[in-house]
Amino acid sequence: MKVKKEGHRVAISIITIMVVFVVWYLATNIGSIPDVILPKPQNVWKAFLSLCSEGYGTNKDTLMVHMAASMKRLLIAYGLSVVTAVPLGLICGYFPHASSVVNPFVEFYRPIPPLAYYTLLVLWLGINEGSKITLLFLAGFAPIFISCASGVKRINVDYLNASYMLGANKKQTFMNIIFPSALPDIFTGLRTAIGFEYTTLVAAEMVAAKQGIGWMVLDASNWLKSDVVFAGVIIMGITGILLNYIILFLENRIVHWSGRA
Amino acid sequence: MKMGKIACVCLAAALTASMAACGGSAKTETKAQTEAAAQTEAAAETETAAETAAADETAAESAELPEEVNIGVQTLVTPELIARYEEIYEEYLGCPVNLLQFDSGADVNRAFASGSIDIGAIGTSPAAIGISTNLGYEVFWFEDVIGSAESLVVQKDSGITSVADLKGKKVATPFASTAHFSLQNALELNGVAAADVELYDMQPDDIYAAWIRGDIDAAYVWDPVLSKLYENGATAITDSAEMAEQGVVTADLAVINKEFAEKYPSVATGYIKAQIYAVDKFNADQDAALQEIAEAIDITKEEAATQAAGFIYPDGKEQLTDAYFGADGNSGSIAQILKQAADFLTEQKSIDASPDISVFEEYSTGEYILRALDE
Repeated sequence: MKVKKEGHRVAISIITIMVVFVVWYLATNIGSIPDVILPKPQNVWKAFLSLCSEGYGTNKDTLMVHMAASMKRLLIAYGLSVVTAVPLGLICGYFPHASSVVNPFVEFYRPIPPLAYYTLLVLWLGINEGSKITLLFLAGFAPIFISCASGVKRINVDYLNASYMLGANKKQTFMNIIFPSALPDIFTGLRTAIGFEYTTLVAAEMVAAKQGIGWMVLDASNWLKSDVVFAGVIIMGITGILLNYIILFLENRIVHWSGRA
Repeated sequence: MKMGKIACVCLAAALTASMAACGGSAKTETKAQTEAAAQTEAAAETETAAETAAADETAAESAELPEEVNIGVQTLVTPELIARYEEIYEEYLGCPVNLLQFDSGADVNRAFASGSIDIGAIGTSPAAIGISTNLGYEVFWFEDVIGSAESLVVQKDSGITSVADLKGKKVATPFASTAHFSLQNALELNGVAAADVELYDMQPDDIYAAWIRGDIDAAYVWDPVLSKLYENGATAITDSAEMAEQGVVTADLAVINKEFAEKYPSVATGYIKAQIYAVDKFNADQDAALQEIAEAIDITKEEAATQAAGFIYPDGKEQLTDAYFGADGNSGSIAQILKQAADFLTEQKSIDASPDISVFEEYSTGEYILRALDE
């Protein structure tokens, strides 16, 4: 029964997408919508093929090169934010004093739109990869940090007391009680973070990029190549979904017990 | 379940319909138009004894006036700033005017594509892009011809003394701008392949930051950033005046939505009249004009003078010569300048195809200058 319902919902999504696609096709091929505003689907497809074969940009880099440049930035930044924010968040959740030190800064920069401080990063770190990766790193740091800290804080005190009563030391308690029970929250943070970093990618590639899917879309928009913009945006959307699913897959593997208590 | 399915399909259809609707901009001006027409009619009645020329004018105006005019402006030191400073647009155009600030011609193009503006200031290469992409605007005035206002500058200790030395160097310019166009032409004229230069796409402010840090060796850019680079050890190796001598003319143009101009010719003519007033004022009393320009964009008079020295401002009569629109308003070199830009951009694969010269002839006109000078 459950499987059948699931299948139903997937079917509805597919039908919806197809309806949108057909309306898009008809509106652009029969209607009189200018190509700049809404390019024809077949032109977007042509643009996609030309991106793959002929490439785009000053150096005619192919789509794969742009994609690789973006993914490299994204993954380095994401890796950095995971290895820093997870331990720091756990520590801050465990020791309130540490939290008092770090929290004001995280709370301060978290709501600021990345573009607002990007110019400062460019001044400090230059136009190369440093400033771009730092921008993405900052975008991903806060959500991971906050969810890790709150994950630790939410632990049932009875578990901790029981653990201590049974003779576990602080390290054992942390490794066997605190860390596993904070894992579902950590993964929520990890997923939010990859989303944040991905949405910041275009902003990061606004300054002095020569490659990258975000730069490609921005540059194509300067030349009014809406077909390339559409192709780029669709690719970015699909990649975003894939990234989310990768983390979701890991989450289901590692914290398979979560939500099924 | 079935209801849910239907609802979903409806939702999807509504979504796409609303997306498609975004394409057509609001066309609910009729009410305001009739009101405006009634007003001018009443005005015409009270002045029935006026001389024929004036009567003709009110007749033309009473035909139709838009509810408001949206003008996209950029921060360039041109006489246009005098018109802005003295707030004469509403008087000359005869209707409410909205001035919208843009940072680049690419932004102006996007605004035209979405139907957000009726008149805009734009460089020759973004204009060539816009006309090639069927944005539906026509060139109807030269704001300026670019001279040393856009220059290719290099860092003091970079050892670069000519364009040929740029091989392997980091050069920054805002892509899709007139400066980018001039830079690409300069490289080609000096036999430097674009692939041999590290080209960076940066907005002027970012160029300044990168320059201070020493991240870039050279930049092709305009004021006010150009002046700031000179303060920080920049030396020019070529500029757009030299490029113009070699046949690569760049200019800043005023463009107007063609349909809009045909529907409201008095607005198009009014805009030109305001520009002619401003240029004439600039030529008659440069000192006072520079003072107004400086105050309009909050710079010093000296800065305004330095920046203005890098431009040529042709007045109304000059624009009806062969170098611009031609005596009949349609035989000048403007179409050729735009065609040349589009050809070059096509060669660089920046745009897909360069339209025939007749398209550029169709989308550039000195008609409103002729009218403005006649009236």
